[in-house]
Amino acid sequence: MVGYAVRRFLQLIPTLFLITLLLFVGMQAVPGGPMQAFAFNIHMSQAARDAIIHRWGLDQPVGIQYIHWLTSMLTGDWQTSFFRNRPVRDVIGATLPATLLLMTTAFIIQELIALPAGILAALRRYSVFDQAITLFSYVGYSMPTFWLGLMLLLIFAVEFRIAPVAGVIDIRLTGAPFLTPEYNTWFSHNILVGIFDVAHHIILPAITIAIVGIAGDSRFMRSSMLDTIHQDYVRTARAKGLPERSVVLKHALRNALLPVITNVAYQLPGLFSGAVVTEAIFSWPGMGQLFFEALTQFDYPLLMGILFVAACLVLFFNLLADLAYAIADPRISYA
Amino acid sequence: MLDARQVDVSDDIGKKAYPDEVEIAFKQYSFKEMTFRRFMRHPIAKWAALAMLIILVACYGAPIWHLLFPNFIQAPDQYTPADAGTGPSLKHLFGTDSFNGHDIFSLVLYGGRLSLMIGVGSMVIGTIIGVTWGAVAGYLGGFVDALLMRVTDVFLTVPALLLVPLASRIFGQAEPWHIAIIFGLLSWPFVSRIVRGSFLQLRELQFTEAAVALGTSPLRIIFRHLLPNAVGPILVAFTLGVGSNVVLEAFVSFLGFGLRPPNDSWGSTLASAQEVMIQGNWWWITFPGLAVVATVMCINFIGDGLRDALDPKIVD
Repeated sequence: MVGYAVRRFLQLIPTLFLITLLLFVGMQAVPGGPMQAFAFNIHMSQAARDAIIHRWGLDQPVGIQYIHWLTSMLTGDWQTSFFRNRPVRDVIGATLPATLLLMTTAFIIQELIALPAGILAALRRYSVFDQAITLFSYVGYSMPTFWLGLMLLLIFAVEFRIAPVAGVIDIRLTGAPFLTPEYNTWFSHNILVGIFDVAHHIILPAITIAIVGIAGDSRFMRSSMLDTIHQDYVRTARAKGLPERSVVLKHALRNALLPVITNVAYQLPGLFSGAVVTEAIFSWPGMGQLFFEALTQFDYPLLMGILFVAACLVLFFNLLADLAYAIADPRISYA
Repeated sequence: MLDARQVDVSDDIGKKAYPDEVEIAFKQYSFKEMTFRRFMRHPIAKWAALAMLIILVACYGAPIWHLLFPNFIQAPDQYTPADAGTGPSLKHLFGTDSFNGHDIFSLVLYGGRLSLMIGVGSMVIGTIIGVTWGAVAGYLGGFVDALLMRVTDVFLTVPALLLVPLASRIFGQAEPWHIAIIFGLLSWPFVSRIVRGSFLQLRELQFTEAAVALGTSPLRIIFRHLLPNAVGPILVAFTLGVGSNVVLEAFVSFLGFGLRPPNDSWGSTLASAQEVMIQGNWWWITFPGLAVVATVMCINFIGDGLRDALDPKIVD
């Protein structure tokens, strides 16, 4: 098992290398190259342009630039953002917690609703509840995340005004942006208010992500549960007179959960995509929103950094899913 | 799969007057007929297909509807400033925008043309690339397969949600065809995965072996022997891809990296609606979005029906 994990991890390295190479080559193909943000700016003198080109080392041969960038990604500060005057690593590092917080919350809400709903639907097959879940999952599956977010925003923030329109915290309350040192001091003094504030802001974006996920996961849980509930060992458990509760929970559910765990793990990259979309709608100060800001300005080093981190996250989630699969299904040997 | 023939003993055997004249009539269905019959048996897919047809006719016929009902359907360059910012009414089914008084219902109809064109156009490009890529990888296997699939992995790893806006921002210049090509160039990897998977299975089958033994050229084996047998999964992937690209176009344009007016699409209509959403013009952002949802739901149901109809493992 450990051997499999190590091997699987080592396989990531060539993929990651190829990703950096393709990203870099792709960016060179952009009209104006990495300098796109300045190349077509008529208000800028050629001297100023040349100074920037020189400062970011963009006048060197492409191969050298690539090696510089790669070493900076592996050991350094990921180069400096064009417009923020800060190392890319710090800029991204400041937004990553917000994204992960949103993803985790959405994930918990999603599974807390989807799994029980799927189990109940399977146990009461063809009941009104089951049909309602099926209908919901068909609609939810086709629902574009961004439009769902807009609708929730329209209903709960604009019409009824019970939820905030944007952001992760109320700056009038905290006096400082999320996770700055000032905010952290404020938070340590007002923990309860602080938690409530974040929860109040996170509820709409998290539910937006969760609804689409619930549609898929509840359906998967339902079919997995239906598969196991008709197995012989479940009938045996019933036949020997076990209470229904223990038949369902101990015999059927535990086996039905195995494929669900894997399926859930394989959907983590989707959760990340959902977070990216939702952040753009709710002005959530995470990596997704940062990406679209960087894209508007064409902040080349920052864009490269975010794409790199996103790729790393997805690779990591895939690794996690593969490992979950290996652990969950003892019938497959990974010697 | 192509050789499967459905055998149907016709009803009129018993109606023959003389037993010695009885001919047992075998009705043989072609692959297309059989798929169609199985598709129509799906409870929702046929209604989704009908709804999709209505959407297509409504959108692409918009200029005709405009000529027929000039008071009701406005061309994109027409507007009634007096009605600007009004909610849904009989005259303006979906309300009007609050800038000039464009009729949202007309905008949705006209905008559907570009949204659907991008969805279908991009998947035509994506499917051609994906099928070729996956076919070569799956048929040759070995080193070539490993190399091609690593490249596919890269495209599947960097979220398309980031790559597509990036490419649209750079190469799109708000030209519908550029956007369609960009979407196509970024949606082939998942098709190629599917094609490669089927090819890896198919090339081990005996009819491939026979074709190789007869000295058939690899190209002919790929396109004449293997590809027709993989058409089911490809068709399903194509259908679902159209749905997800319609959503992606809406999102990318909504963020301002895709189409912009006067290139009206559902996404570009949503983008202009966003600015005034806070004022409570709910109709402007609701109805173009509902058009996206309805379309994608139809496409997903059609994909579901196709999957069932084309799956050789499901027996009637």
